[in-house]
Amino acid sequence: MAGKVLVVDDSPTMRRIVANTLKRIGYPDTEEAENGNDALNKLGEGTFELIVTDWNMPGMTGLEFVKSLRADGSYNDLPILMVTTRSAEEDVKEALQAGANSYIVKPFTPQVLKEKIESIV
Amino acid sequence: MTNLNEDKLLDKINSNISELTVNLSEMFESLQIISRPIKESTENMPLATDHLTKISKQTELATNQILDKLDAMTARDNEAIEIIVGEIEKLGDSKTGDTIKKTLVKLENAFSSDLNDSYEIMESLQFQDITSQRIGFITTLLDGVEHKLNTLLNALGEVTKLKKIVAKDYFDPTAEYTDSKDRQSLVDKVIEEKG
Repeated sequence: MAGKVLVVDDSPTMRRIVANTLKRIGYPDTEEAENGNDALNKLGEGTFELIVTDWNMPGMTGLEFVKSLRADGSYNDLPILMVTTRSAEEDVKEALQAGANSYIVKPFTPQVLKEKIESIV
Repeated sequence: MTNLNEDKLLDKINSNISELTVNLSEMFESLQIISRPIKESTENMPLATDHLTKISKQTELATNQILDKLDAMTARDNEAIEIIVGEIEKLGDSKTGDTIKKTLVKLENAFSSDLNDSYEIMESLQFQDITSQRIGFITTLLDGVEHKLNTLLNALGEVTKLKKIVAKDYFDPTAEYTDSKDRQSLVDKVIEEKG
């Protein structure tokens, strides 16, 4: 049984699409957060197997969220997948450097999401 | 002699001042002519940003309504497929039910195709987030232009309210709805290099 996934995105539409896709690929248990701050609060309230986060968000961005999470030693083993519209090489490098385990460009397909999750979980 | 020179100088100064006054008055008129269209354009800026924000919100609302329908459709399709598969299993290898079985398989395929199409529509709805990123970026640019125009109007003597600029740097101006296969391949290369 797959564990719970935290879906972080400021767009309610994207949160629904990501959660629906996760359900189809075997992750029916999801929780949603609308930015990095919200996600940090949600993390404190439960146990998660994976985080799927957007980059461009008001408040705390996805990149800041990843950095903040990795700075807190207790979440070092929690896989993070960045799902974003940004596809520049330097962005990908920056996200991986910050501590994201993998990276997907929007619009994504269920197949790519599945492959990336399987590579990091 | 000295008085004569002073008078000449005063005349010259007076003449220059008169000329300057005329020039200033002309310049003031020109500035007023310039400031009028700037003021009108500036007043239209919040209207433009409001319209764009409304477009973004309405698209989001409509997209979520489509998602609601798709959720209901996929739930119905899954339920139908489950029932059909159950009926096919019940028939087993019995030859008497062969025709019914064939019909049921056709129905199952049809529902499965509908289900896949619904999922593909769902994936396409990612366009909403991508376009709202672009619209958000444009509204940020318009806010900046409005601020600069208001500053210019203030300098021209018009009393305008300077709107506080709120930094909205969380929109991605490069967001695009295209087949992301090629872009994902480039990303995968970077991930591979990083090991």
